[in-house]
Amino acid sequence: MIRRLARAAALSLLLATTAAFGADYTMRSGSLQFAGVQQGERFEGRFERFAPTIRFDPADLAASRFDVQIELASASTDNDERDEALKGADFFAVATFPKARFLTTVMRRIDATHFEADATLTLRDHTVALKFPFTFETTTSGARLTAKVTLDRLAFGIGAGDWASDDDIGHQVEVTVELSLVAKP
Amino acid sequence: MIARSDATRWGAVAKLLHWTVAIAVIGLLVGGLTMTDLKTSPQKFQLYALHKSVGISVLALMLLRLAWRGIDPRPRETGSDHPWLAFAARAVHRLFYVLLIAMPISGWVYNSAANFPLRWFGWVQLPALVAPDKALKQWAHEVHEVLAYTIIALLIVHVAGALKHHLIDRDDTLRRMLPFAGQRAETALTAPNQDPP
Repeated sequence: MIRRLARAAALSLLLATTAAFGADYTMRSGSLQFAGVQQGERFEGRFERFAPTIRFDPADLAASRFDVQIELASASTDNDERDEALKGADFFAVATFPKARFLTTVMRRIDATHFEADATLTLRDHTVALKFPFTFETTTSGARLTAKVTLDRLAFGIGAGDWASDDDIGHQVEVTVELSLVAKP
Repeated sequence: MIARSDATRWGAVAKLLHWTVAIAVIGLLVGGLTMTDLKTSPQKFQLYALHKSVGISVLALMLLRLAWRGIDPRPRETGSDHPWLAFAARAVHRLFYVLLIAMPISGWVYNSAANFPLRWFGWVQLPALVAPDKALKQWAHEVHEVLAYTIIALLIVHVAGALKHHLIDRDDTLRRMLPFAGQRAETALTAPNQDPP
């Protein structure tokens, strides 16, 4: 019993040490999804290609930072016509603005696994400040990061002009992040 | 006007169904063949949504017509056609039922395979017939287009036939399908400018 406790203690110490030094993570697998409403109908999409740089240590939030590059041309909603429009000049304008960038500044702890970051998202020619609540849980093989935020597409000039009506395409877009992370050696 | 048809005239229900479908189909053909070339815009999406709603309505109306045809008597043929022409006319009518039911279904399959929602006049949500599928989408589009040209060809034959009866045979085939022909016949006695005594 004592031996087992000792072993557990040693193991948690080891894990804690690894976590403390292993604040940098790489993505093993993950999804970056979005959901909107078109003509009263919900649709879902995802970015196939995005590169997250994750440095996170719950004990040192000041040194923690997320920096994510998103390739806008990799957006897909499983609908060719919509995807083509989405990449066009009125929306993401991927020819002019190929990448979006998400960058955190200050992070706060809410409880053991819940945190909130002040962040900026640069999409097209707009950089918008937003609150980014997320969960971060260490697992036996790394960590899991999840988040859900709602963005206003017009704040980024996405579908402005002819497409600005909330009835045609909803202004609110829900973004969901799920990352499975591995600590960098 | 009498709802049911009899041996010499079409009833109001048959006429209403015929002309509603006729107007809808002509609108769908003109819209369908021109809207694909429009530049992507909210209006284009709205026009497509309208096209789909009207198309689904035609499907419902054609099923209703099929049911009504089953219980409503049909006026006698006027007998002006050669037997082979009368056979061709009946074939055209039957083919119209087949095509005008197949057409909206091909559009529905196309819409489902392309992963577009289908909301009848923004009101009733209709289910997808198939899962999103690029190959099937392409195929359904081909079918939808070929059916469109087939319907146009059939429409020309149908109108030519009606005009042949009206202008050459000078029989009642076209007149008895006209929306207010029945009424005119009934009011002929009181109408001032018709058939001087």
